Amino acid sequence: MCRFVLSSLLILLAFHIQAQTVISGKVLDERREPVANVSVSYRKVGSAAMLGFGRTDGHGNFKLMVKANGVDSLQLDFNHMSFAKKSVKIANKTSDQSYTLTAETRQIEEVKVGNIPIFKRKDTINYNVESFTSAQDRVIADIIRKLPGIEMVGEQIHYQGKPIQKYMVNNLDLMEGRYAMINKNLPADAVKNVQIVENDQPIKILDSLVFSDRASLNIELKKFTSTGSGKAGLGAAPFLWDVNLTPMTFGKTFQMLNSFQSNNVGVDVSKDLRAFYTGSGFMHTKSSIDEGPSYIYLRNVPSPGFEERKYLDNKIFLFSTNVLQKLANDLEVKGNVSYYDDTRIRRGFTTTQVFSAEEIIVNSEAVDNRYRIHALDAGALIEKNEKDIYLRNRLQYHKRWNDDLGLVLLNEDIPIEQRRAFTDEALLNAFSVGRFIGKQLVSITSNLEWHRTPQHLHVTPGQFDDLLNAGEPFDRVGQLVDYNGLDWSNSLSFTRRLKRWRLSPTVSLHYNRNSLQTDIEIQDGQQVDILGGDFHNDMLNSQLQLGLDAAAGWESSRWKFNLATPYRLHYFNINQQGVQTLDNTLRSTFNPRASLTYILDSRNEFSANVSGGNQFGGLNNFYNGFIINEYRNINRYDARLLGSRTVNAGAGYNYKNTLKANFAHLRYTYGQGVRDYIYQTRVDSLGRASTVIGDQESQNQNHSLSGGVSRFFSKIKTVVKLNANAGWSASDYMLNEVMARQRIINYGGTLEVINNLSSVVSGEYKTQLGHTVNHLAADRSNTVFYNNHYLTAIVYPKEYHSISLSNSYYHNNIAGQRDQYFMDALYRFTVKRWRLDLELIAQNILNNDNYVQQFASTYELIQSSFELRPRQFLLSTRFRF
Amino acid sequence: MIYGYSFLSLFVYCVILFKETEDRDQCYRAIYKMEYRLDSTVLDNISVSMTELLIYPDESWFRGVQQGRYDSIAHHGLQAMQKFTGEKFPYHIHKNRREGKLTYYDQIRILVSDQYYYEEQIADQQWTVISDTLRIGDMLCQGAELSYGKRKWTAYFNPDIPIHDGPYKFSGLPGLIVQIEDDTKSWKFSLFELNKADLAPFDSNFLFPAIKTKKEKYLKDKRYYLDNLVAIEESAGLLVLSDIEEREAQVKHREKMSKRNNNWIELYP
Repeated sequence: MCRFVLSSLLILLAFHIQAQTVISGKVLDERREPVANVSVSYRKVGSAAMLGFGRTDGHGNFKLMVKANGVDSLQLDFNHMSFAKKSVKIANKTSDQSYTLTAETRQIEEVKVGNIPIFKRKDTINYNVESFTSAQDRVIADIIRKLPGIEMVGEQIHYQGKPIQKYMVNNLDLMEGRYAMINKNLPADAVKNVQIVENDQPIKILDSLVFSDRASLNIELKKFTSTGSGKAGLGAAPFLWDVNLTPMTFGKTFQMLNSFQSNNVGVDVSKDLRAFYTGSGFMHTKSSIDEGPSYIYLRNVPSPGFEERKYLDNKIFLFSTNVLQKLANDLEVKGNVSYYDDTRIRRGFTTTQVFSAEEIIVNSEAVDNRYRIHALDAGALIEKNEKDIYLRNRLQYHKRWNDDLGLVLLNEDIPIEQRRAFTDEALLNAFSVGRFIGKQLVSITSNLEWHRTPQHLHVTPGQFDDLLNAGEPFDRVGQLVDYNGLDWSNSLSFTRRLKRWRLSPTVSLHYNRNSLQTDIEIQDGQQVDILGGDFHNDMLNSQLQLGLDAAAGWESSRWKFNLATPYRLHYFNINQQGVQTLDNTLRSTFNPRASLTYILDSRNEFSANVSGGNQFGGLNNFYNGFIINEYRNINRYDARLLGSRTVNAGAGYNYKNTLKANFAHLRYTYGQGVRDYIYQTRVDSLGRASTVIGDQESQNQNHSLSGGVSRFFSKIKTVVKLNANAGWSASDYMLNEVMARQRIINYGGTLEVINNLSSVVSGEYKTQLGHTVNHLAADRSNTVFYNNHYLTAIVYPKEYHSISLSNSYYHNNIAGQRDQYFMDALYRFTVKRWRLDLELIAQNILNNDNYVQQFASTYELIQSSFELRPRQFLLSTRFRF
Repeated sequence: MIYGYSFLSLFVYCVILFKETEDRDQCYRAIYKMEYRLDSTVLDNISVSMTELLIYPDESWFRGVQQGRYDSIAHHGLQAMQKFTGEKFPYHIHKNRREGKLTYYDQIRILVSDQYYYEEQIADQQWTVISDTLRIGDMLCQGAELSYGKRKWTAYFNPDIPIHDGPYKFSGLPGLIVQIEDDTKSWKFSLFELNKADLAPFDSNFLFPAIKTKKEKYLKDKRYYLDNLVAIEESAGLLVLSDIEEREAQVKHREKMSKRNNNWIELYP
């Protein structure tokens, strides 16, 4: 036995010795003199990676113990500063040869690695702006949308699939979430780096206490400066203008942005004033005012997922001023005022199919709407954000007033006029303070928000004859609504760190009070009647919440765990038409949630979260008198609290390799809900719907999977981004007294390629694809499919001249609908000395007059066709300060 | 005769100049960014310093960029500026590729600029090439690993740059080291730029007379000095602390500083 083992070992050893090739030799120069210190490396033929190396000694000899099993031939590379590089291919077997090098002083190319496109330092990923800038880019938004790992969802910036939590310039946050205005007007050439700060805890006092999984974006300027951009353009037809004047100053302790913008070319600049911060998180206060509830609407032509400037018929004037001053004691003071006046016209045609169990009800509407919107916002903020103290108080005022007119032609037969007036006036004060008392952080937050929202809708001729006027036609119906709301929420937290644990018990007090007065009036001839009875609401509801949350966290360098266990007692009071429907009704809710993050290494991160609990709500829908929401919808709900139980879970994975400029993310979420009620809708043959709340349990579930990968190919200056999503959901609904279950299966994705390699031509290509199958009652189903392509090619025929051609191609599955193709063009001449561009813009060159698309809601399939802006030309000058 | 002599002198001068220019053409200056964590207990306290590698045909010198400025001042005779260079790491590393030897020069004491040196063989760095390649900027770099100074290092070198050298003592790979980092991520050198440089021969006179020592002894002496700085300099008469409280504060401060200085590039044996 021993002999057998010994023989086997010897055989194996012999094989091993045979497997190792020894390549030796001598390196000589042209005079046959030995050359010392030559590096001799070997690799598989055709492979980029070397397998081993050696060096010649003082006699020019070298010896390589080659370990390359299964390889027939090898490439030997000889490298020395004073000799030409030499490569030879030899058989992978033991050999001893001499090799001659040719004398040549090697010229080494100078290397500058300093400006690598993406690099990471601690938690900050730096994108070098120059590496991503092409000749056509003007403002920083042009760069940010191209960066791998970053997506623009409308005007909002997402990093690795999640919205950023802060947008700063030189580490100061001037705009408090309204960052689109900086993003679209800050010249790209003023910026050195765009930085993403991962796991950023913006509240310094929480720095070592509370882990953050959110990312912030910082714009690092080349220097403190006054900069900005502007535009002035005129065009036809009709008469067009496009003016933008946005100077900004970014100093060490002072920042200011002023903007005046006006256009009628289809650009909705009011979006620049939208605040994108969510205000969620420990010690965070409410970041913006929510719009007050609207109970009435004009019938509209929906237009999701289509480039707005192709159809928006607008006339907008906007002014905004924003100031930040950092005082000597690190106190930051901010102020902002903005106002806009917007007039919009929307014309189109919709066909709505309502899928009830018995039949499919089809209605068509021609819509011609005019909206007049005014909005005024003013705010003041004071903040001290230091390691030992946090203080923030924000006072904000908002007023929006609309005066809208809507004309509908129902089923090509019945003309209907709607007039809507809506005013929302609101005041918000958000306060937060935190300070250490001993080793304990004591923090208080308080939000106070008040709304006054009067609104009315008048529809001519009168609708709902059976319900409102005993079946007799009448001239006009009016819905009058007066809403007032007050919301006051407060919390007190004690946070303490015990080694790796963080404990944050919180007590909270939340008071909410709303009043709703509504009336329906009908007018026939000169006679106006207020109906009262079932058509009148005089409601006052209030809710007092007392909460206790024993939150905790555990942290190591790799693991982050957070747990919150909020328990709340709710006292509900409802008074309807003088009757106390709910009198100190007590309910409790418990909504625990937990999250876990595992940082495998600097590239890979995993996360998981789970939450669940019960909720009560629906107070604003707590009216038992009818309200006309739209000319064809009338609703009322029986008075009761709406209860629901939910369970949500999710898991995510983030990958980033900043050296190779690769980013990827994958996210799965699951949600399940059980409600103790169901919305019961009745739709008549004209598509008019009335909804009540039924005492029947209903359920819903959903699964969704989304992910994305992006990469920057530095050699060909190309960014590739791929995003995809898939989902499945099911929910109960009741239509025309038939309970059914809706099942939706959807998937979609986008692929984007941005190339800036050539100085003569560059281009961008994007394709979007979406597929949704909606299964409804009685085995009815509908399918929505679209596939859109966008291609922009930019040619630079001469220095300072560029021509860009934008093509968009839309395909959908509407029967009989041809694919739709659009083309825009831009010629630009740059006067470098004056930092100025002269532009000639041609929009909708093919003069398409309308656009058709379809989408599905709960039990409806809506096809909409809306009017587009005609072919237009605009001559403009764009300049940078 | 005088014309003939002048012509010959001019010819010799031109030959010398040409030869010198030719030699200087072969010189390069590589700037490396050095990121380091001297206190291993504080993970996020990373310092950054710029270093330079002066590459001559058969030798190289490595030092801090700041140190280089003060060396120039010293070279031009401003000796007074020599003691406090402002450089946190005032060492110089000389690699003689022809002899396969490297010499490490440093001063142990802060207040006295006596130089010590020890020698090592470049061939002692036993690199193992790994299959990883990494694109840094436009360069395709090959990975290699090395156990050195009680740390495991991973380097990426560019085989297309036939300079078999790198930052600090690292050398011997078949291409310039572009990036090197230890596995605890405490020390990292990244190439910032490589330029052709018109370098004069390195004047190392100011390093001499340097006292020869052994590496282990040098490391032990340096640690001993940092732990007992106040007492050593007091006994040498270079530090006078008459106030007892001030002395105690100084001792405590130095002890604290010494404790924080616990994560050297080569770990204490």
